[in-house]
Amino acid sequence: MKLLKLTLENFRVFYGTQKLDLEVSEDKPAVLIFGMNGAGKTTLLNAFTWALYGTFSDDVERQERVINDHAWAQTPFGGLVSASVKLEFEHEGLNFTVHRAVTTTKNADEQSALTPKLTVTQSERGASTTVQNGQDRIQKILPEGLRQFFFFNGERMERMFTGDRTDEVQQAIKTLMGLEEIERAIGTHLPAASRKLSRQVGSNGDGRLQALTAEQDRLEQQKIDVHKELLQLSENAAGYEREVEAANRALLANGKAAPLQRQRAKLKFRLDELVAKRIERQERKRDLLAKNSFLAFTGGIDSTVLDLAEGMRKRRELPAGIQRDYIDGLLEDGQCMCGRDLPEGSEARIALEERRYNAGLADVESRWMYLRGKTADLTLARADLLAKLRECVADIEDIEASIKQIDAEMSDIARELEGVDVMDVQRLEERRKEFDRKRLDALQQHREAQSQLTELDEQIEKVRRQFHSARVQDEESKRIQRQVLLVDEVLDAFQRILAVKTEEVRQQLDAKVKSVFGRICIRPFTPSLTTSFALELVNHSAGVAAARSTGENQILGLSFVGAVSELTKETYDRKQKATDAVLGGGGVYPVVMDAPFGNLDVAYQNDIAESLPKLTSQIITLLSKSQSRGMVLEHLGQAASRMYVLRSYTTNSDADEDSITIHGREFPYVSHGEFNHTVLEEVTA
Amino acid sequence: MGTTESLKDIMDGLSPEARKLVAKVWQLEREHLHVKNPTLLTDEIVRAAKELAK
Repeated sequence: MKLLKLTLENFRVFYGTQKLDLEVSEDKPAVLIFGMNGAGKTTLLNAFTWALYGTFSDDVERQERVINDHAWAQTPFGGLVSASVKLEFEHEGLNFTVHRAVTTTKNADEQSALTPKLTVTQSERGASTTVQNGQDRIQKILPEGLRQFFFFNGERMERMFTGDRTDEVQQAIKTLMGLEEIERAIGTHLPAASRKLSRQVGSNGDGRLQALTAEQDRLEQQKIDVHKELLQLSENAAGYEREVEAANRALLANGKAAPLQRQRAKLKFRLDELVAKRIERQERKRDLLAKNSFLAFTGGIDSTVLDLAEGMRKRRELPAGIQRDYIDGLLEDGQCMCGRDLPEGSEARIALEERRYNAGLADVESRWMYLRGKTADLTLARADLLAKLRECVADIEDIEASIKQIDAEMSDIARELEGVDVMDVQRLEERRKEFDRKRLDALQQHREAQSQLTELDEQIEKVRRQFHSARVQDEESKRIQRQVLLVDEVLDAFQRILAVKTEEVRQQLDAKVKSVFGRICIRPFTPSLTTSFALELVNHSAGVAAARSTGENQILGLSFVGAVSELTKETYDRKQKATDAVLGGGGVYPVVMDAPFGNLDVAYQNDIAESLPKLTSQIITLLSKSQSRGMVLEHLGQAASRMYVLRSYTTNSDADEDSITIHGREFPYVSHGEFNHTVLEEVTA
Repeated sequence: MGTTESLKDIMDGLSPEARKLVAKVWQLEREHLHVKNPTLLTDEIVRAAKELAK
């Protein structure tokens, strides 16, 4: 696969038509594209994969906005608007054009997700035809499973070997290396041909062969059923495993957070106590004020009254105590207590009546006395109220200070717990156990189903042998028996060929990965491709699995890409020269990479910049200014057939315009414009 | 894997008809690889087998 040209039409940040010529010479396999952050490097990388597979990588935001925002805004409601990517490439002597487009009638301000339409055209010697099953064709040229190895973001490369992608990678490598066709022959077409031939023993043919064919059909049907069950069990086990892993991750996160969570719970309890206490103190204060606040307004009056009463007492102005009703009795009887008569208007009666008046003042005096006692109580009560109010206020202030302190502590904890999906640890543990038990059950059932499958295979094999060796009388049945025997011989040969070739590919790939990795990585690590095509890294000085850093994972990823590229190219070259009918697979594949150096330090960047052009026969590299300095640019520049700048136009007049220096010349990098968009500009000498 | 035989060993151990059929099947599979379920492929293998083992 050799990339020839990429044409973008209103595709995301790219407005209008933008073309990227990708043809390279043999000695200069690189195309370099420079762009600032946000200029569209990731979009450009995704333009290749969107054209080929119709999907974006996970790091692309707002994936529904395929059509350029300005083009969308310019389109009136009810008007048609579209975006497309056209990728032209050559593969095994044929030219292909992959065109993927979205077209819609604008009926809202915002775009919504659209289903793109794919057209694949194949041309050979000037004649061009539309490929009916275009996506399948692309899949066979460059399987999507390998997309992560040929179209990737260096900053995300360390994720290549994480997660459960081994099967996908193994299958994709098999497709690339021409092993898929053998698998299809073994898995589907040769057994089907064998059975079809077996069934051709007609009703007049050999009865024994007919019985054996019927028996095989029965066993094959059982095998299909068990196989379905196996798939379901695998799916279940994988699903349960994902749940267990998720619970493990949550447990780990919660485990780290557990002391903080405990502390937070303790603080929350204390906080609730304080809040309740504050409410209680406030109510107490309110109650004190409601019942006794009048005391605050009597301050001074009581002492004045006391002074007055005391003065009167001292001046004997408060009369002595004589009962008024006693005098009333004397006046009514008309005789004084001294025996004197008290006729009306007499001097004695008038004197007694005056005494009666004064006798009323005794109550007054008694009240004065009572008031004096009470007034003294008031002073005490006021002092007491003041003390109690002060105590309440002090308590409330203390409580509020404690609440503020706890709030601050809880805020710290909340910050530390940010990003942790806080769950109840016990519930998590139960969930983990439950799914682990389900997973183990599913695996046990899977093992049982597999044994059943092996048993069925053995029974089928036995029936086949009986079919091959059955003594047959009629000529027609003998002929069919020979034909079945031939197909079965080929089936057996293909099974052995697959085993040999798979191991051969694995060994070759393993050697290539080791070689490429050794050229770049300075640490004593050796990569190793397991029999299940999983990539491991061994620390050979310690003889244990290496603890891989992000940088090492990036180098491992690059090594794997380089190894796959080299191996497929070598196989392809061998196939071109050989006349061997059983040599398949291989090919030449490009590598398109964004931020190839990821987070690597300068020493590694230089090594990789030197190694990159040797990885494959065509390498499209997207770089920012900071990633293309000094030796890096020198190495890559020497290997470049073409260079482009992603020129960003911005409406932000406060932003500084910028340029990039390539081979001593300045090229616009950021410019002011009427709307935000990016333009591809070729760097010419 | 533990396999020690080579591709050549396998091919050399086949009958002449089987060697021809291996090549034919491989060619058919490669031609139809981009089609998920090629309906006629099995019939073509049957036809080739009948041709080779009359």
